[in-house]
Amino acid sequence: MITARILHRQAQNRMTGTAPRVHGLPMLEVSDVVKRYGDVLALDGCSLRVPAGHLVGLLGPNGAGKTTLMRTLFGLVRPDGGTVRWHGRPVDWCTWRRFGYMPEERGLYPGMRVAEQIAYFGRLSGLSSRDAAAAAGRWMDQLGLASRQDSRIDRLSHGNQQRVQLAVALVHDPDLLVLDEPFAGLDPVAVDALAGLMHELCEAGTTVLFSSHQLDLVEHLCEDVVILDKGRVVLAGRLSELRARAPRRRLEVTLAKDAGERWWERWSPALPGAAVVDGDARRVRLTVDRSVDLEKVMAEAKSTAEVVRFDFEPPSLSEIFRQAVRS
Amino acid sequence: MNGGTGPAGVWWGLVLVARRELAMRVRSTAFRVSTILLVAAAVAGIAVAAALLRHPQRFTVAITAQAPPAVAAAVRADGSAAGLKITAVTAAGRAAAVRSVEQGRVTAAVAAGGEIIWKAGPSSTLHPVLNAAVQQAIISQRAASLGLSEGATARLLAPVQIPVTQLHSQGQRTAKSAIAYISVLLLYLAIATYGSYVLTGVVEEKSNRVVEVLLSRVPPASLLGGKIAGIGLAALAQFLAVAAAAMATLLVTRPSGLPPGTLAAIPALVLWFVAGFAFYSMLYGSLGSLASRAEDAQAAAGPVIALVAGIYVLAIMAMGNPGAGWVTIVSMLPPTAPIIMPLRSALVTVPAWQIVAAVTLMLAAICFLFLAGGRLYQNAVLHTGARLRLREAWRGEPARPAHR
Repeated sequence: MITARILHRQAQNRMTGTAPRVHGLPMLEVSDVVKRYGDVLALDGCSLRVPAGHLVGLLGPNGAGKTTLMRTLFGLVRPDGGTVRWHGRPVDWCTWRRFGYMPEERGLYPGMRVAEQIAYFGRLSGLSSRDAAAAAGRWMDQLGLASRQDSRIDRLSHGNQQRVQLAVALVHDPDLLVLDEPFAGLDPVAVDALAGLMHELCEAGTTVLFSSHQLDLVEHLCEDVVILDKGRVVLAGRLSELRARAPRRRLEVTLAKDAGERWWERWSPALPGAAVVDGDARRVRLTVDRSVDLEKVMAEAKSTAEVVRFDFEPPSLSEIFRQAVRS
Repeated sequence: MNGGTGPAGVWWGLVLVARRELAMRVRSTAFRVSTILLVAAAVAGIAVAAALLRHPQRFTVAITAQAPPAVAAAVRADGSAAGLKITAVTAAGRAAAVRSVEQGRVTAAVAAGGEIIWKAGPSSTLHPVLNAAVQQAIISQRAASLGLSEGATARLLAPVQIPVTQLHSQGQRTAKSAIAYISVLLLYLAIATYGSYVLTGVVEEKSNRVVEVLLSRVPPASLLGGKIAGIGLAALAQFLAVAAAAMATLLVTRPSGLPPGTLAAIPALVLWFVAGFAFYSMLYGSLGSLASRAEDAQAAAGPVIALVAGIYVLAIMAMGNPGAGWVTIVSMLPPTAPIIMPLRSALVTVPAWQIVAAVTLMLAAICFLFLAGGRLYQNAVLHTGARLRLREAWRGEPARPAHR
């Protein structure tokens, strides 16, 4: 599902070893934000920092507080406690003008025409009418809406409505772009296009925060993730670091020939924290603690038969996510 | 970069929202068609009324050969004295006269012995004239048979000049009532129609979720204030078009019996409309924000819809007795003043202090509503799902958020 374009870009980043960031200091700082709805605690001392120009995935099970947190960033929800800062200053209408938001519940004026609608939201974000019209034109071109600029929103296909929604969030070239479930309901081609655009925006210096349940997608798209559960941040940071720091590892051993049933049981019970995922006469997959002695495992396996494949990997994002949310 | 924080930012957003609302309204076919129809109705209504007032009423009366001799002359004379134009035609006999009345060729007929023949009930305008003419003709006959000379009879029957003082002319009273009723109707329709536009506008923005995108850019005060201002300006434009058409038609046709001050009452009507709209649209908008779906809108705004309808009924009651104490009181209180005060002003002379009191109370009420309604709106407008209760919205603690 991920475009070749993004994989290519990630490969490039890996080769240079550094992400092309201009600023590294946290731009968005959420500190101890509490929001209570009656007897429901939606945010329970939520804190996170998003560095400038980063693409951050906000993950969490349903009801974790993702939407409330996003609304708090825009002042749509007034927190009962805590602060939200941008460039070290508490957010206000001045900063919100420089933010772009695409809520999960998409909404546009159905009777308004595409160009007019995008320009109107640009005006609301402080653009002059000329700048707003120009920006609307630019985004319509970029998002492939140019031929529909005079169509009413309610005459557009679902996909095109999504594009207008995105153009509305982007029309004023925001410094911070917040997208709530931007990939929900998109076809694979549209997912690729959006993912590519998010990457381009980030490289141009925009800070992007988005929520998603599509963990594979997030894993390929972002370098930073924040995992929210029950209104608290349970895990946050560079995905590569989170994976490296994870206490568990995936271990997979494949032999050249059949070695009988449960051939691994000769050595696996002695490994620290070992749990078998699955296995057959030639292959076994298990999870073990990070501290496992690989030389020893390799030697044991070799004593059974020739080893044709030996994988020792940090857990995937979905494993990290499940671990973080379960505990 | 324009606008910013604080009141300037609120104002910037408000102007933009208002401009959009105004443009969308004015562009709609419904607005254009209704404006044309209302202007046409105002012009036609006034022109027709003026034409009716200028031309005397016309009647044709059949008089048989057997009727008292001087009846025809008396009918014409008394008719013109009463401001009617009566044509007397001769009928061959009673049967022919009855036929003419029956077929509607004449309004009434006079036959032998002064018998007056009507198709159904006697016309209230024509009956006194015919009655007097027949009386006069028969009395002349009797006077002649008693030996009175023609000159003596004429002196005897010469009209008695009774001095009459009319405090209000009948025509003026009718015109005043008509003006009062039209004022009430216009104000009621304009407030109810445009208030409900604010209601549906607020609920639509909630139900199609655009409100969340909007509120990430402009404060709730800009959004509600701009909506009310934009729709209000569209309403005002329509109201002004109708008022201007009405004033122009009045100036051109100059109908007789128009009470003095009618022209001056029209700008006052416009100002009362502005005050009434500001007050009620704020109620419609803030209560509307409690609903999330179009189906709930009417229920959420039920109290204000009932209030506006109740005031219309009150106004109709007040027309019957505009001098009553309760009318004086309700004409000064905020919820009722915008409709009852113009009504009272059209019918009786209102002391200046009462008008000042009504306007002051109204402005205070509007300020209060903008604060209280704004709070309700701000708390309720992002809530989705079941209709919020007033108390929940006031406290800003929706028990069950749709999203967390």
